[in-house]
Amino acid sequence: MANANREWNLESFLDSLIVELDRARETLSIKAINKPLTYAVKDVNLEMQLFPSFDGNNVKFVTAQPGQEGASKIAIQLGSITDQQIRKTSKEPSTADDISIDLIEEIDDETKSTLRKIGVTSVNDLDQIQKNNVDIERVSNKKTNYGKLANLLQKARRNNMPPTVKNVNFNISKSGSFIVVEGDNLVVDKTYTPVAVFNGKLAELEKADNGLLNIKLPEENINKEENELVIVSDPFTIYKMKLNNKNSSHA
Amino acid sequence: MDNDDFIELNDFILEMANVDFYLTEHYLDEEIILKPKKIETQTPIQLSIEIDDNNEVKIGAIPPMYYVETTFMPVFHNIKLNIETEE
Repeated sequence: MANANREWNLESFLDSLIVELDRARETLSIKAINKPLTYAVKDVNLEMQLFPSFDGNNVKFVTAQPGQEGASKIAIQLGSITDQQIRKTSKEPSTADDISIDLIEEIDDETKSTLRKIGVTSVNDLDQIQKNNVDIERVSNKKTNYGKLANLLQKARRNNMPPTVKNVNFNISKSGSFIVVEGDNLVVDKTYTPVAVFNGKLAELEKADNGLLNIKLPEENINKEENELVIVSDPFTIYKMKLNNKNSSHA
Repeated sequence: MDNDDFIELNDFILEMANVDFYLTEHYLDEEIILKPKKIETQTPIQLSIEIDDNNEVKIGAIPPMYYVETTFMPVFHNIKLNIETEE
Protein backbone atom coordinates (compact mmCIF):
# COMPACT_ATOMS: atom_id res chain seq x y z
CA MET A 1 0.00 0.00 0.00
CA ALA A 2 1.50 3.24 -1.07
CA ASN A 3 1.50 5.97 1.45
CA ALA A 4 0.11 9.31 0.41
CA ASN A 5 1.77 12.51 1.37
CA ARG A 6 4.94 11.10 2.80
CA GLU A 7 8.18 12.96 2.52
CA TRP A 8 10.31 12.21 -0.49
CA ASN A 9 13.76 13.23 -1.60
CA LEU A 10 14.36 15.15 -4.76
CA GLU A 11 16.44 12.44 -6.41
CA SER A 12 13.76 9.74 -6.27
CA PHE A 13 11.10 12.24 -7.28
CA LEU A 14 13.13 13.27 -10.33
CA ASP A 15 13.73 9.63 -11.21
CA SER A 16 9.99 9.03 -11.27
CA LEU A 17 9.30 12.23 -13.14
CA ILE A 18 11.80 11.28 -15.84
CA VAL A 19 10.33 7.78 -16.09
CA GLU A 20 6.83 9.26 -16.50
CA LEU A 21 8.01 11.63 -19.20
CA ASP A 22 9.90 8.87 -20.99
CA ARG A 23 6.84 6.67 -20.96
CA ALA A 24 4.73 9.44 -22.46
CA ARG A 25 7.38 10.01 -25.14
CA GLU A 26 7.58 6.31 -25.93
CA THR A 27 3.83 6.09 -26.42
CA LEU A 28 3.90 9.12 -28.68
CA SER A 29 6.71 7.73 -30.78
CA ILE A 30 4.80 4.47 -31.27
CA LYS A 31 1.79 6.49 -32.31
CA ALA A 32 3.99 8.29 -34.85
CA ILE A 33 4.57 5.03 -36.72
CA ASN A 34 0.95 4.88 -37.83
CA LYS A 35 0.06 8.52 -37.85
CA PRO A 36 2.14 10.93 -39.87
CA LEU A 37 1.19 13.94 -37.79
CA THR A 38 2.11 13.40 -34.20
CA TYR A 39 3.20 15.72 -31.52
CA ALA A 40 6.18 15.27 -29.31
CA VAL A 41 6.61 16.64 -25.82
CA LYS A 42 9.59 18.97 -26.07
CA ASP A 43 9.68 20.06 -22.48
CA VAL A 44 7.74 19.92 -19.29
CA ASN A 45 7.80 22.51 -16.58
CA LEU A 46 6.30 21.43 -13.30
CA GLU A 47 5.78 24.02 -10.62
CA MET A 48 4.93 22.63 -7.23
CA GLN A 49 3.89 23.92 -3.85
CA LEU A 50 6.10 22.13 -1.38
CA PHE A 51 7.34 22.19 2.16
CA PRO A 52 11.01 21.30 2.41
CA SER A 53 12.51 19.90 5.59
CA PHE A 54 16.07 19.20 6.61
CA ASP A 55 16.98 16.41 9.00
CA GLY A 56 20.65 17.32 9.33
CA ASN A 57 21.79 15.27 6.35
CA ASN A 58 19.14 15.32 3.68
CA VAL A 59 16.57 17.72 2.37
CA LYS A 60 13.14 16.15 1.92
CA PHE A 61 9.94 17.50 0.52
CA VAL A 62 6.27 17.07 1.11
CA THR A 63 3.48 18.50 -1.03
CA ALA A 64 1.34 21.21 0.52
CA GLN A 65 -2.06 20.08 1.78
CA PRO A 66 -5.33 21.97 1.37
CA GLY A 67 -5.48 24.90 3.72
CA GLN A 68 -1.72 25.02 4.31
CA GLU A 69 -0.15 28.32 3.56
CA GLY A 70 3.39 29.49 3.02
CA ALA A 71 4.57 26.62 0.86
CA SER A 72 7.71 27.03 -1.18
CA LYS A 73 7.38 27.00 -4.89
CA ILE A 74 9.72 24.69 -6.72
CA ALA A 75 9.82 24.51 -10.48
CA ILE A 76 11.38 21.60 -12.30
CA GLN A 77 11.97 21.91 -15.98
CA LEU A 78 12.67 18.84 -18.02
CA GLY A 79 13.77 19.50 -21.55
CA SER A 80 14.58 17.11 -24.30
CA ILE A 81 18.22 16.80 -25.17
CA THR A 82 19.85 14.91 -27.97
CA ASP A 83 21.77 11.70 -27.42
CA GLN A 84 24.98 13.55 -28.27
CA GLN A 85 24.38 16.05 -25.50
CA ILE A 86 23.73 13.19 -23.13
CA ARG A 87 27.06 11.64 -24.01
CA LYS A 88 28.83 14.95 -23.51
CA THR A 89 27.29 15.77 -20.16
CA SER A 90 26.95 12.35 -18.55
CA LYS A 91 29.48 9.97 -17.20
CA GLU A 92 30.03 6.67 -18.91
CA PRO A 93 27.72 4.11 -17.37
CA SER A 94 29.33 1.71 -14.94
CA THR A 95 30.92 -1.24 -16.68
CA ALA A 96 30.59 -4.85 -15.59
CA ASP A 97 33.92 -4.89 -13.78
CA ASP A 98 33.22 -1.59 -12.06
CA ILE A 99 31.41 -1.45 -8.74
CA SER A 100 29.05 1.17 -7.46
CA ILE A 101 30.17 2.66 -4.14
CA ASP A 102 26.59 2.34 -2.88
CA LEU A 103 26.76 -1.44 -3.07
CA ILE A 104 29.84 -1.80 -0.91
CA GLU A 105 28.65 -2.66 2.56
CA GLU A 106 32.05 -2.14 4.15
CA ILE A 107 31.96 1.59 3.46
CA ASP A 108 29.94 3.50 6.02
CA ASP A 109 27.13 5.84 4.98
CA GLU A 110 29.01 8.97 5.95
CA THR A 111 31.94 8.11 3.70
CA LYS A 112 29.55 7.20 0.89
CA SER A 113 27.82 10.53 1.09
CA THR A 114 31.19 12.34 1.31
CA LEU A 115 32.32 10.56 -1.84
CA ARG A 116 29.05 11.24 -3.62
CA LYS A 117 29.43 14.94 -2.90
CA ILE A 118 32.73 15.00 -4.75
CA GLY A 119 31.25 13.02 -7.66
CA VAL A 120 32.67 9.63 -6.82
CA THR A 121 30.02 6.94 -7.30
CA SER A 122 32.06 3.99 -8.48
CA VAL A 123 35.41 2.35 -8.01
CA ASN A 124 36.62 3.59 -11.40
CA ASP A 125 35.75 7.18 -10.39
CA LEU A 126 37.97 6.75 -7.40
CA ASP A 127 40.82 5.42 -9.54
CA GLN A 128 40.38 8.42 -11.79
CA ILE A 129 40.69 11.02 -9.05
CA GLN A 130 43.60 9.14 -7.55
CA LYS A 131 45.38 9.27 -10.92
CA ASN A 132 44.83 13.03 -10.96
CA ASN A 133 46.47 13.26 -7.56
CA VAL A 134 43.47 14.72 -5.79
CA ASP A 135 44.04 14.99 -2.06
CA ILE A 136 41.02 13.02 -0.93
CA GLU A 137 41.77 13.55 2.74
CA ARG A 138 41.48 17.28 2.29
CA VAL A 139 38.37 17.28 0.08
CA SER A 140 36.59 14.89 2.42
CA ASN A 141 37.62 16.81 5.57
CA LYS A 142 39.86 13.97 6.70
CA LYS A 143 36.95 11.54 6.73
CA THR A 144 38.61 9.09 4.39
CA ASN A 145 41.85 8.29 2.60
CA TYR A 146 42.96 6.22 -0.36
CA GLY A 147 44.65 3.46 1.62
CA LYS A 148 41.55 2.78 3.68
CA LEU A 149 39.28 2.85 0.66
CA ALA A 150 41.56 0.92 -1.66
CA ASN A 151 41.50 -2.11 0.62
CA LEU A 152 37.72 -2.03 0.97
CA LEU A 153 37.26 -1.64 -2.75
CA GLN A 154 39.69 -4.33 -3.72
CA LYS A 155 37.95 -6.68 -1.36
CA ALA A 156 34.54 -5.80 -2.78
CA ARG A 157 35.76 -6.18 -6.32
CA ARG A 158 37.21 -9.57 -5.51
CA ASN A 159 33.89 -10.65 -3.96
CA ASN A 160 32.30 -9.93 -7.30
CA MET A 161 34.78 -12.10 -9.14
CA PRO A 162 35.18 -15.29 -7.16
CA PRO A 163 37.74 -17.77 -8.48
CA THR A 164 36.28 -20.88 -10.12
CA VAL A 165 38.24 -23.99 -10.86
CA LYS A 166 37.18 -25.99 -13.88
CA ASN A 167 39.88 -28.53 -14.32
CA VAL A 168 42.95 -29.79 -12.47
CA ASN A 169 45.52 -32.07 -14.10
CA PHE A 170 48.56 -33.79 -12.72
CA ASN A 171 51.43 -33.92 -15.11
CA ILE A 172 54.00 -36.26 -13.65
CA SER A 173 57.27 -36.96 -15.42
CA LYS A 174 60.90 -37.49 -14.58
CA SER A 175 61.98 -34.13 -15.97
CA GLY A 176 59.53 -32.27 -13.74
CA SER A 177 56.04 -32.62 -12.33
CA PHE A 178 53.31 -30.06 -12.61
CA ILE A 179 49.79 -29.43 -11.54
CA VAL A 180 47.83 -27.47 -14.11
CA VAL A 181 44.77 -25.68 -12.77
CA GLU A 182 42.30 -24.24 -15.27
CA GLY A 183 39.47 -21.90 -14.39
CA ASP A 184 38.34 -18.29 -14.19
CA ASN A 185 39.47 -15.38 -12.03
CA LEU A 186 42.22 -17.50 -10.55
CA VAL A 187 44.65 -14.60 -10.20
CA VAL A 188 43.32 -11.11 -10.82
CA ASP A 189 45.51 -8.78 -8.77
CA LYS A 190 48.62 -8.11 -10.85
CA THR A 191 50.31 -6.23 -8.02
CA TYR A 192 50.40 -9.24 -5.75
CA THR A 193 52.51 -12.34 -6.29
CA PRO A 194 50.34 -15.38 -5.73
CA VAL A 195 51.53 -18.15 -3.48
CA ALA A 196 50.88 -21.87 -3.81
CA VAL A 197 51.21 -24.36 -0.99
CA PHE A 198 51.12 -28.04 -1.86
CA ASN A 199 50.79 -30.58 0.98
CA GLY A 200 52.04 -28.00 3.42
CA LYS A 201 55.10 -27.05 1.38
CA LEU A 202 55.66 -23.96 -0.66
CA ALA A 203 55.42 -24.75 -4.36
CA GLU A 204 56.73 -22.81 -7.29
CA LEU A 205 54.18 -21.10 -9.50
CA GLU A 206 55.65 -21.21 -12.99
CA LYS A 207 52.74 -19.48 -14.54
CA ALA A 208 49.82 -17.74 -12.91
CA ASP A 209 47.16 -15.78 -14.69
CA ASN A 210 43.43 -15.36 -14.80
CA GLY A 211 42.66 -18.67 -16.44
CA LEU A 212 45.66 -20.92 -15.77
CA LEU A 213 47.99 -21.89 -12.95
CA ASN A 214 51.06 -23.97 -13.62
CA ILE A 215 52.53 -25.26 -10.38
CA LYS A 216 55.87 -27.00 -10.32
CA LEU A 217 56.24 -29.78 -7.74
CA PRO A 218 58.94 -32.19 -6.66
CA GLU A 219 57.59 -35.63 -7.52
CA GLU A 220 58.18 -37.10 -4.08
CA ASN A 221 55.85 -34.51 -2.67
CA ILE A 222 52.82 -35.95 -4.46
CA ASN A 223 50.79 -38.45 -2.48
CA LYS A 224 49.05 -41.33 -4.19
CA GLU A 225 45.70 -40.60 -2.65
CA GLU A 226 44.96 -37.30 -1.03
CA ASN A 227 46.76 -34.08 -1.76
CA GLU A 228 46.00 -30.59 -0.65
CA LEU A 229 46.62 -27.49 -2.71
CA VAL A 230 46.16 -24.02 -1.28
CA ILE A 231 46.40 -20.92 -3.46
CA VAL A 232 46.63 -17.42 -2.05
CA SER A 233 45.97 -15.29 -5.08
CA ASP A 234 45.67 -11.93 -3.30
CA PRO A 235 45.21 -10.72 0.27
CA PHE A 236 41.46 -11.38 0.09
CA THR A 237 41.38 -14.67 -1.78
CA ILE A 238 42.48 -18.04 -0.56
CA TYR A 239 41.23 -21.26 -2.07
CA LYS A 240 41.91 -24.77 -1.06
CA MET A 241 41.57 -27.90 -3.15
CA LYS A 242 41.65 -31.53 -2.11
CA LEU A 243 43.14 -33.45 -4.98
CA ASN A 244 43.21 -37.10 -5.69
CA ASN A 245 45.93 -38.23 -8.00
CA LYS A 246 43.38 -39.90 -10.25
CA ASN A 247 40.15 -37.98 -9.78
CA SER A 248 40.56 -34.40 -8.89
CA SER A 249 37.97 -32.44 -7.02
CA HIS A 250 37.97 -29.09 -5.34
CA ALA A 251 36.41 -27.58 -2.28
CA MET B 1 -2.49 4.82 -8.49
CA ASP B 2 -3.82 4.01 -5.04
CA ASN B 3 -5.81 7.18 -5.10
CA ASP B 4 -8.38 6.51 -7.81
CA ASP B 5 -9.03 10.18 -8.42
CA PHE B 6 -5.59 10.54 -9.96
CA ILE B 7 -4.05 9.18 -13.12
CA GLU B 8 -0.37 8.54 -13.67
CA LEU B 9 1.54 11.59 -14.80
CA ASN B 10 2.53 10.02 -18.13
CA ASP B 11 -1.16 9.46 -18.98
CA PHE B 12 -1.84 13.03 -18.02
CA ILE B 13 0.91 14.28 -20.34
CA LEU B 14 -0.38 12.03 -23.13
CA GLU B 15 -3.87 13.43 -22.74
CA MET B 16 -2.47 16.92 -23.05
CA ALA B 17 -0.36 15.99 -26.07
CA ASN B 18 -3.31 14.32 -27.73
CA VAL B 19 -3.95 17.12 -30.18
CA ASP B 20 -5.45 15.88 -33.38
CA PHE B 21 -6.75 18.61 -35.53
CA TYR B 22 -6.31 20.47 -38.75
CA LEU B 23 -7.61 23.87 -39.64
CA THR B 24 -9.14 23.89 -43.06
CA GLU B 25 -10.08 26.81 -45.21
CA HIS B 26 -11.51 26.99 -48.66
CA TYR B 27 -10.08 29.53 -51.00
CA LEU B 28 -11.39 29.64 -54.52
CA ASP B 29 -11.46 26.03 -55.53
CA GLU B 30 -8.65 24.97 -53.27
CA GLU B 31 -8.65 23.71 -49.78
CA ILE B 32 -5.98 25.00 -47.49
CA ILE B 33 -4.99 22.85 -44.57
CA LEU B 34 -3.24 24.29 -41.60
CA LYS B 35 -1.73 22.28 -38.81
CA PRO B 36 -0.41 23.63 -35.55
CA LYS B 37 3.36 23.36 -35.37
CA LYS B 38 3.86 24.17 -31.76
CA ILE B 39 1.50 24.25 -28.84
CA GLU B 40 2.29 25.72 -25.49
CA THR B 41 -0.08 24.69 -22.82
CA GLN B 42 -0.26 25.40 -19.15
CA THR B 43 -2.72 24.22 -16.57
CA PRO B 44 -3.08 24.03 -12.84
CA ILE B 45 -2.97 20.44 -11.63
CA GLN B 46 -3.51 18.55 -8.46
CA LEU B 47 -0.75 16.13 -7.59
CA SER B 48 -0.74 13.01 -5.50
CA ILE B 49 2.79 11.97 -4.68
CA GLU B 50 2.92 8.52 -3.17
CA ILE B 51 5.77 6.33 -2.02
CA ASP B 52 5.31 2.62 -2.68
CA ASP B 53 6.72 -0.32 -0.76
CA ASN B 54 9.97 -0.22 -2.76
CA ASN B 55 10.45 3.40 -1.71
CA GLU B 56 9.79 4.55 -5.25
CA VAL B 57 7.95 7.75 -5.80
CA LYS B 58 4.72 7.52 -7.82
CA ILE B 59 3.35 10.69 -9.29
CA GLY B 60 -0.37 10.98 -9.85
CA ALA B 61 -1.92 14.00 -11.49
CA ILE B 62 -5.33 15.37 -12.36
CA PRO B 63 -6.67 18.69 -13.62
CA PRO B 64 -8.50 20.65 -10.93
CA MET B 65 -11.53 18.58 -9.95
CA TYR B 66 -13.77 21.40 -8.72
CA TYR B 67 -13.77 25.06 -9.44
CA VAL B 68 -16.16 25.96 -6.64
CA GLU B 69 -14.57 28.20 -4.06
CA THR B 70 -14.43 26.49 -0.68
CA THR B 71 -12.96 27.37 2.69
CA PHE B 72 -10.09 24.99 2.15
CA MET B 73 -9.05 25.17 -1.45
CA PRO B 74 -7.12 22.23 -2.89
CA VAL B 75 -3.50 22.95 -3.65
CA PHE B 76 -2.94 23.65 -7.29
CA HIS B 77 0.45 23.03 -8.77
CA ASN B 78 1.22 24.08 -12.26
CA ILE B 79 2.34 22.21 -15.32
CA LYS B 80 3.55 23.71 -18.56
CA LEU B 81 4.08 21.61 -21.65
CA ASN B 82 5.66 22.47 -24.95
CA ILE B 83 4.38 20.25 -27.67
CA GLU B 84 5.78 20.30 -31.17
CA THR B 85 5.23 18.35 -34.33
CA GLU B 86 7.74 15.63 -34.96
CA GLU B 87 9.95 16.39 -37.91
